[in-house]
Amino acid sequence: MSSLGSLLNTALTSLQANQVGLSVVSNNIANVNTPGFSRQRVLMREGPVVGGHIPVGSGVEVFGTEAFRDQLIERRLWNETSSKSAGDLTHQSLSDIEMVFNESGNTGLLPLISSFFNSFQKLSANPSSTDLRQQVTTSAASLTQYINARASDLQNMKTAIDHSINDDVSKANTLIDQIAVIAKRIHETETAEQPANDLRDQRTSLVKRLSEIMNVKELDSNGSYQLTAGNNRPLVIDGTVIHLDLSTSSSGLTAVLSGSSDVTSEFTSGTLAARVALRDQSIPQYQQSLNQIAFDLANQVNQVHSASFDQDGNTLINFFTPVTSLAGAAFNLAVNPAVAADSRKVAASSQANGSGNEAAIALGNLVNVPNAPRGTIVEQFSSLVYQIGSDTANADADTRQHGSMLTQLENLRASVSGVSIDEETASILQFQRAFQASARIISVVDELLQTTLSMGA
Amino acid sequence: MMRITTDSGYRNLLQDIQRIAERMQTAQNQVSSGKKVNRPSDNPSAAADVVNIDSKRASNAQYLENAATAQSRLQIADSTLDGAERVSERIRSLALLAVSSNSSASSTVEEVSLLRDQMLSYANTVFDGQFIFAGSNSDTAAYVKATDGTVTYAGDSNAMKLQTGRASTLQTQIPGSQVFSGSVDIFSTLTSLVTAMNSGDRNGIRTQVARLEQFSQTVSTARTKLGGLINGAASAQSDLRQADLAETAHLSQLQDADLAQALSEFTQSQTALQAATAVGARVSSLSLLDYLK
Repeated sequence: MSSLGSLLNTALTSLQANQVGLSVVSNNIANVNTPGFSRQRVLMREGPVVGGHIPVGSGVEVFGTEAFRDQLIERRLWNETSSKSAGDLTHQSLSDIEMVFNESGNTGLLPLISSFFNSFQKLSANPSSTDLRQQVTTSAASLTQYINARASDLQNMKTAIDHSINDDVSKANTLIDQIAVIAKRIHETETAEQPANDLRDQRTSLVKRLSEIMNVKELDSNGSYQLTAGNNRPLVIDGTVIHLDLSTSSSGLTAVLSGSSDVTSEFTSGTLAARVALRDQSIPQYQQSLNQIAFDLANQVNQVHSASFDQDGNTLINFFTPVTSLAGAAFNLAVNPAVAADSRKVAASSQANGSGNEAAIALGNLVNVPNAPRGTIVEQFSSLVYQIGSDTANADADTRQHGSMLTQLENLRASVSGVSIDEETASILQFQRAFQASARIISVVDELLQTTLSMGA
Repeated sequence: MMRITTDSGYRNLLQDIQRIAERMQTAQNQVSSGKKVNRPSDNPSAAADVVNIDSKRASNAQYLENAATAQSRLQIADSTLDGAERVSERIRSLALLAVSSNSSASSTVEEVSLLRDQMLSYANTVFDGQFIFAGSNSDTAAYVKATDGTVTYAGDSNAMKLQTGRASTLQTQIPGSQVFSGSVDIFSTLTSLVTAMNSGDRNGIRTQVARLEQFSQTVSTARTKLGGLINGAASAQSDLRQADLAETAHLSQLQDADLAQALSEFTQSQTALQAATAVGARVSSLSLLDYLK
């Protein structure tokens, strides 16, 4: 048989427990918009049974709070975040490059190629015209300047991307530091009964932010915590941090080091991997194509031009400054300064006396002459446009796909960990009613006590 | 059942609105630019084809210009030779008159000399800054008259050509060496004629008349050839115009937006956007809180 006092105590545990419940609800609602927050619930259990003959429970006991978190979903979310941020960055950079080679609206390289070859055609109609000769050198200069400018655009983009690898690494190091600090605190404060919910949320959020930069793997068991990236390069081992370092490779590009190993190309997703791929694969490929165009243009034109005769019957004149190596061809392409300075040196003739127009026709016709096995200059250029266009379109499709998958996963995460205002509102009612009923018990007990006390009066 | 939470509702709404807005923007771009390929990634293979076709069109436009130049040059040559033929005819009748009248008035001889100069100026016709009968030496006079009156050919025997197609060229001139100083040198003929007329040498005049007739034959043959070349230039132009029409049609197919489709796409996405925002506004206004006091 329980006493009135124990009845009061039982009601009191209920008041306290439901108040804790309301606090947890309040915290959930407060964090409804907090990224990375996992909703919590209060954990209650019955109080110990007291009394002898008729055992009655002694109320309720709050023994902790529990967070709704599915670590598997969180990890999938990290992976998808890595892929999405890599896709976004690749798409954005390729779109920039695409605009450099945008041919729509009568601007771009093609109109310059056409007017260059056509200037020889026009000259063929009147090979002794000074105006038409100058038109050849002028349109050649516009063409070479345009190719030079596109070559530096590509190089500048490559350099800018190379520099931003530094930013990524320093951001990553900051995040790694923070993750290690929190991992250490989790290790120190967590007990088997009460997990460090808020710290775990924070760590999860930080790892997610790190995932934007690089894809990471987490190992969290039995109080030991490990975070690795690339080919199992450790970033955090329990409380210890292993920073990524930077150095400059022999080719003058940024290299990422873990310890003494070069891990630059070990990352498979995240912005770091995207930047490395753009820097080492996509852009060099476009540079190579542009160089090949410049190389073929110079050699093709020089071959015909040097075998022909200028207005004064001189021969063996190169039209372009000779281009001997593919590397830097687009950047260095230039009209032979002697020809640029004196348009009489344009070789329009195939006769030693410098008359006639056969060479001008042959030079103009080079627009139709393929550089086996690569096709004509225009065909090579259209392949480059295709290459850049399809790379950009693929990156766009990629980033869209990862975008939808990311939304799916975020919804999945929300279905486990997200806060629903309606649900919390229902919980408020639940705890409020329980609190009210317990308070009612207390006032009843109070009345009973007064009745008891007045018995003796 | 999947638990629906407050933020996932917003996230879905936002994603839907973004998708629709993007579709709207694509349609809007197509309508305002009139093109469905605004950047290479819109359709990489079409963008590459557009480059190749644009290049072909630029070349064809040049070939067209070349064919037109060729045609006008050939026509000038033809009308010049027409003049030369008339002059030759006039000289022949003057010479025949001299044979029959048995005397050569000094005015007749004078006229023949003047007509000889006329013939020279025909032979040295300049068009587009070029001596059209000088062969490929077209920047200097085709025929040079020495102080003693002898006229010599300074051109060469190469007929210049212009490219009028990917694999075709067209001759734009007939060198003077095939007309004025071909099988008959008209200038030495006329010099001999004047000498014969001055000295009343009837046989001599007859010999030169025969050569004049031969010259007319040469000119007529040359004009037949010019006629053929002019036809060639004209048909090259019409072929090139046809080809350009075909290329333009192909280009339009590749890159021009279907305006009706783009507009209906735009309207559709507008409706979808209105629906999505309306539903979003209604859903987010529904809350248990509204029913509790």
